Amino acid sequence: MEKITLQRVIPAVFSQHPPTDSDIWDRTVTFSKGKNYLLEAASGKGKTSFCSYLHGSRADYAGHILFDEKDVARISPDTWGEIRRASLGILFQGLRLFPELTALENVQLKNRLTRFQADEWIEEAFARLGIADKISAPVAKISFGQQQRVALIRGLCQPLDFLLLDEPVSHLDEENSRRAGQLLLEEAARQGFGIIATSIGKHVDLPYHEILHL
Amino acid sequence: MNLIRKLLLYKHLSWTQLTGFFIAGLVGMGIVLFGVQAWSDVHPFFSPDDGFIKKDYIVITKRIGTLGLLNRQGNLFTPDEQAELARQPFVDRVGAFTASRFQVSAGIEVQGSGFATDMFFESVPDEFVDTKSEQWTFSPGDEEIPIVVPRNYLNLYNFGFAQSRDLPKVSEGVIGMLRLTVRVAGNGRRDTYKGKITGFSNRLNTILVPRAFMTWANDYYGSAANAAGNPARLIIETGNPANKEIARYFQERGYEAENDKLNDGSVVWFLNLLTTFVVGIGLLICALALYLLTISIYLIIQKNSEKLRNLSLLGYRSREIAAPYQALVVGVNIIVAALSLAGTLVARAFYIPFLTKIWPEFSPGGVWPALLCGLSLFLLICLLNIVAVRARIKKV
Repeated sequence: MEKITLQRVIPAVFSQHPPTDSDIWDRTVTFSKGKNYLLEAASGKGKTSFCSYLHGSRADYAGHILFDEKDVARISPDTWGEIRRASLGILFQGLRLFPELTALENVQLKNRLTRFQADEWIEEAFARLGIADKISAPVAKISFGQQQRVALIRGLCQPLDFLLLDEPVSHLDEENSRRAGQLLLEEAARQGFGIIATSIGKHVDLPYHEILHL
Repeated sequence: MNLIRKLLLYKHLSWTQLTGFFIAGLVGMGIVLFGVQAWSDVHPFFSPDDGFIKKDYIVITKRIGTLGLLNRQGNLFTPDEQAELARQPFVDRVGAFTASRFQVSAGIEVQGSGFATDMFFESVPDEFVDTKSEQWTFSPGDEEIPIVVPRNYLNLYNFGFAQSRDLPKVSEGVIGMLRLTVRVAGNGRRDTYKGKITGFSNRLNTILVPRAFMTWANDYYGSAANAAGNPARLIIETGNPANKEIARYFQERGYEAENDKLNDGSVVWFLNLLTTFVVGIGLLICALALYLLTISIYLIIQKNSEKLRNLSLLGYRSREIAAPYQALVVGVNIIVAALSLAGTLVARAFYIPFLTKIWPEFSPGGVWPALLCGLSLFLLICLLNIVAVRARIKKV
């Protein structure tokens, strides 16, 4: 997948009163592979809706979203599975980790599906993000900031054309946020994927090519 | 995959529900398999010839009036009457009883002493004999004559005579080992044969010998004086003995039908009814067990719906998500099927010797009915469950 295009997409809840000052809603926007985008917005502007539409878990919008030339409305459930394991990744705001599994098991659940990263890479990522000591802890027992880092490692365990980040560093301090950004950039450089990050102010430190307002 | 299994099953499995299915499934399938196996083991005994039992036979005679005493030919069927009867739409086949035209006496000799009695033989075309065996043949020069007697005779001895005198009851197998001494005389000739009782007939209330013997013996021993008589009894084969046309026709001609109520048909009918009932109950329990299993898996899926959704967002396909549930279903069903089959075989090992004891000629069939039935039931249950689980997961 080389580009994602939004053609006059507008969430169903906004259809009565379309926002006029948005760079995304009701506009035609194209995101290209290899570039980094930051979407800034106050709460309630539809950041999470935006990520959900692109990731195919919600479809309550008007307009069209195209992956290259293909309208996502015509993608079958099994093909979505294929896309989610081979080209499109996401870090959910709510993380969607499995609390009864350990941090490592959560990552392996994804990596065994894609067989993308080596076990050594995963261990090193835990160490670099400062959570090596939590690798065998059940996710339910670690802090939200630590969970965010586990989710990031899991998100990188697959081939990517685009990575959606829904407020990825909201609970990280400056130092950890910087380390997370470093890891992201390394992987992005290695694979050449595009990053679309959302933020309500605090954002992961990346060289953004474009900053858009929702 | 074991991560998924850990995630989706172990934490949420209700062991009580699973045990419930297990027991219900075991009982249901056990009953079905046992019913089918027992039926297939016992069934051949009651219906020596499957095709035969479907049809019905009526033995007819002419009413014997006072005039019959004076007119010996009056109660015989003429060739014209036989031909007319054969043309009736309700008649499939007609066979004539042929009486012996020579003197017969039969006796039992045990260590030199014994007793003998005058008797007679009759024969019908072989296709009307209901207890045929390979021994039912005769060719001139043979020393042994196969004989079929009415089952009533045996019952009369066993339940009447032996009962009242405290004598041992004898089985058909024992009777089959007896050798009668049959003396045949006529036409200036006199010979001795061995008689062997090869079967007991419910249908034919007479002492039967093979038609081949009768034809030859009537010719060889029969005196010319009473030659070529018309038959006094006929047997007809009909598809539907309840046909009103038959009664009307018999009424018109003054024919009488011998009752043939004590036939295997009703026993087989009862056996079939009983088996259908038992197997039906077994199937019902199986269906309920299947329902229980499906419901409890639906419940687990419902409890896990958020997880299933998250897995799907991670890129898992619905068949990968369904796999642990389906594996569980197949696994439990394999155990249920294997145990029911084992239970059936164990029960069979108990009833086979018992049946062999009361019916010496009882020969059990194979175990393939239970095997086949168990396998198809297993496949059916698995298939239904797999489809149900898959459909439910797609909805989440």
